[in-house]
Amino acid sequence: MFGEYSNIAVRGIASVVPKKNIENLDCVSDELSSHKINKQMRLTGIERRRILSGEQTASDLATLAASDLIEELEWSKDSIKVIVYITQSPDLEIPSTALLIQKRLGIGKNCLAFDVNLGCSGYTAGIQIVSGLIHQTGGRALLLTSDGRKDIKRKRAADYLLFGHAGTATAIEVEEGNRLCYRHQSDGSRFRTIFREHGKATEMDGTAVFAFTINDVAESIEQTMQYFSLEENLIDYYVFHQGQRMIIDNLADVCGIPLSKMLYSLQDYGNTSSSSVPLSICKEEEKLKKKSQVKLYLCGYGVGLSWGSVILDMSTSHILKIRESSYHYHD
Amino acid sequence: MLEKVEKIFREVMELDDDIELNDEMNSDNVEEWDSLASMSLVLQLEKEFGIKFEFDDVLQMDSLGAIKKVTAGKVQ
Repeated sequence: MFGEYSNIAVRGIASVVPKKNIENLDCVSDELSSHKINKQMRLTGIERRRILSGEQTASDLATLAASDLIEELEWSKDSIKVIVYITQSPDLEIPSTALLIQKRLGIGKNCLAFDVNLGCSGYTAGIQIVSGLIHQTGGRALLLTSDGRKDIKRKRAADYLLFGHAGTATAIEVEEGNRLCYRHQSDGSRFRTIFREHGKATEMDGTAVFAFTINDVAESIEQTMQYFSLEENLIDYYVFHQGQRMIIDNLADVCGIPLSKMLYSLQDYGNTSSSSVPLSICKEEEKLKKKSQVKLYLCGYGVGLSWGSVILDMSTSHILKIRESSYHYHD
Repeated sequence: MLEKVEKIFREVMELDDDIELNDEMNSDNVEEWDSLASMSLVLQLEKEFGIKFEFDDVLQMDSLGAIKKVTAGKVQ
């Protein structure tokens, strides 16, 4: 579906990562030789990742990011009417972890809070969801992302080297004159490309993911630019989900996007699921702040299969640097 | 054209010149053949021949024989 709003403003973005850092070159094992690891790093561009440890959970990171952002923007807690938490790693089966986050932040009861089970397409889908909720009713919203559990199993040892953990918060509110365009697609017939059954290892067909990205996602980007009459040179920066460098750069090449306009975070943080797009924005906040306002093309794609784009203008004033923390909220 | 395909295959899969290639080679019997190698192979073939593989093409390329067949179909 294509759509646009004329009154949605993204006010700021914050990101928090765990303190524990893992260098992929230190992960040599019986299954993974240093030769294999070096080859993987060269193709994926992922050299190191931050990983949850101790009692800290994914939602701690999202809560910390939200807390930083609320303070930065000087938003009153009671002015926040919507909390949407994008995660595939909820703290509990029920209720939604968004409600625990509401409690931790001390946000008032006049608020709709819920989780959305989406992965790498979650951020762009989340912007669309939140925008739809507030564009008529007004009010302020927090879009949060985070993924990661310490007990997640993967089929291949090499897959562990791809993924890192991060939590992000994006502040969104209604203000006339702020155009936001979006497009989202889904294909459940290919759900087996990436899936996980309860208590079992995540299964990922890397070749199919790659084929999906260079075909469906590339086509979607071209169609979206055409639909909204956007020329490449009008976009300041492109932020694609940080799956693998080889795939991202090929996507840019196919779509005629110069690599100088791409933002990245995967080298130091890996694939952080729905957090990868906002994390990349925070990673490059110094570059973005050279202008007071930027037009961004955001694209998320992955598990589902699910993929989408958002094009928006935002002030760079409240894009926060990434910070690290080992804090855990005891609920 | 098939010689070029085999050359790229040999490079991506890190197979020495003295190893004889055969069409039955696949991810079960070629040590370096993982999804990253598949991706690298597809991208290099696209660049070499100026072609574009569709989603279903990539999924079919699960052996050297299949790779040669699919690539030949695209080049013609």
